[in-house]
Amino acid sequence: MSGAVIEVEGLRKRYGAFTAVDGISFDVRHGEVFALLGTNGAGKTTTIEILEGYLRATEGTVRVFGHDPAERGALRSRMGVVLQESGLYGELSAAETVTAWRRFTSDARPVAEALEMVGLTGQAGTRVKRMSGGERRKLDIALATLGRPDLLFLDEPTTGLDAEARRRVRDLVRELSAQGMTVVLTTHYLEEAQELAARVAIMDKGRIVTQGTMAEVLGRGSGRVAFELPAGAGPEGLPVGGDDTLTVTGRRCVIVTAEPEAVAHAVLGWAHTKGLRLSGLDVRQATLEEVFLDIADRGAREVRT
Amino acid sequence: MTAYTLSHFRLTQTLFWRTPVSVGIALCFPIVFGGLMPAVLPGGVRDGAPVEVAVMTGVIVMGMATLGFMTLVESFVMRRQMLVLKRLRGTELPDLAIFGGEILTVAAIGLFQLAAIVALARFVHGVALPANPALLVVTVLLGLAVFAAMAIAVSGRIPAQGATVVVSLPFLLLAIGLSGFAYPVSEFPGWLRAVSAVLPFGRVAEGVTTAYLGRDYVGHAGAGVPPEIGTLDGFLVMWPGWLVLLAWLALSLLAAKRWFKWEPRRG
Repeated sequence: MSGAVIEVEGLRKRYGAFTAVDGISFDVRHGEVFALLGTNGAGKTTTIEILEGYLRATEGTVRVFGHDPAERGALRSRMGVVLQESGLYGELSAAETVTAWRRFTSDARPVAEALEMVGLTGQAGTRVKRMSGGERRKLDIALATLGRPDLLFLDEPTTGLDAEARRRVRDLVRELSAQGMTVVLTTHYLEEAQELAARVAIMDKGRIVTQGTMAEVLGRGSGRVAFELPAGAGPEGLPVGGDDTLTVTGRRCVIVTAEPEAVAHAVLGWAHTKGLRLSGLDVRQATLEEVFLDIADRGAREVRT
Repeated sequence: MTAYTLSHFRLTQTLFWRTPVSVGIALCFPIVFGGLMPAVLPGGVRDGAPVEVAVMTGVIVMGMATLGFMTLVESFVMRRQMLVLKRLRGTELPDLAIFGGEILTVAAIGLFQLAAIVALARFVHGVALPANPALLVVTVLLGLAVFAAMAIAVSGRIPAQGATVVVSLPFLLLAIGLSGFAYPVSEFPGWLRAVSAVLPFGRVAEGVTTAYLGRDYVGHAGAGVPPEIGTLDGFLVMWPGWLVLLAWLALSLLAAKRWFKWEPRRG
């Protein structure tokens, strides 16, 4: 496929009898932010580590810039990696760490620029062992993007960061992506993925359960139509279809539906006929979090049965 | 490749000097030990050589063991468990440059330590400078390479940082015991001499003694003074030692290929 930076076809990874990744296929296109989401243990990190060249696939084909990532040589200078967990040298300062990394990074940014980009200018002289978790995470990102890679892997880059630092990382990812960098992201903050990613794949138990553009994936989830009934009016006769569910809490009604727009029309028609005036009307698509929770919930039900 | 190795060498070099335990134990301890030991030992002759030379030989071998083996095992286990090795593998550094940088650091600091011990022997204990410095340097570098390869291999079998002492301590005792430092080699029982002949420790010690005194101490035992030999002959008489050392180097590299781990051992 043209424009694909990463192509994955029928990827499987087994550890003995345990299948961590069970035949997944997807591709990541040039310049996009691609989010790989899933519950803990869904196989995201295994998948990412195969793409990064740390692990070998048991079956299937994986191509990164047309190469097998397990042969690290050809890809090393084109890829930046922020691992979910990795160590730094506590005895070096932030600036010394970047300086050391610059010596083995092609076309590296100047130290000051690298630190400024992630907001660590003030901590340049601080030894890593005295830095907070958030500051170390910023240094991780500074090191991974030091050589202006074409492809950046971010495995839960914002876990453990405060809101301000998360916003900063989000802005940075957006900026890097605008410069043409392809980004593969995993995160537990679904609003972050929804905000950043053009395309998304959601994994559950080693399989991809849904994937596509953000709009497609959100469209597949159940939307919400919410409103308040006037005092004295009941919900009798509300047009609620077979797959839709209505929850009434006091005067507040919420209809969960695959077709929020159509249901909203029907609800307004119903109110008009009955001469009711609805307040607080809210019609919206599913959020990524709701799509995700639906999938996680379905998975949990399958486990129980 | 070379540029990557050198850049990693600069990094590991800085880290060595920033780690008080490494500087204290691996670098300074053998030097201090070498400074004190001859002062508390009675002088005289051991196996045809001045006792001070036997002591300095032992101190040099001990320094090689602490630097080449103990420091590297500790460093690789620690960096693996802390996920530093994993991070380095995500950079442009080739695997061999990651090893190369660490080994160059050990080699550079080993030569520095050797120079300090030789100077100490000369100026504090009045031991003549080595007769065959080239042989001394080659022996020390090859010995360090063997110990380093052993360290890389063994590190993969050690589950956690606190456990390195399980291999480091016996290794150090072997180095001290078999280098003739604690006990004259001529008084080893036959079986121990046979075992020692195929281990690297005594072989390195032979090379160091031969280089220091410019006499053929290879396979030497007893009170006799062996004949003087020139620089080139020093290298030639060492052939059994070279064989043993190269065999250990090859064996260790094979073991390293099988055993070495880049990522933490869990559980």
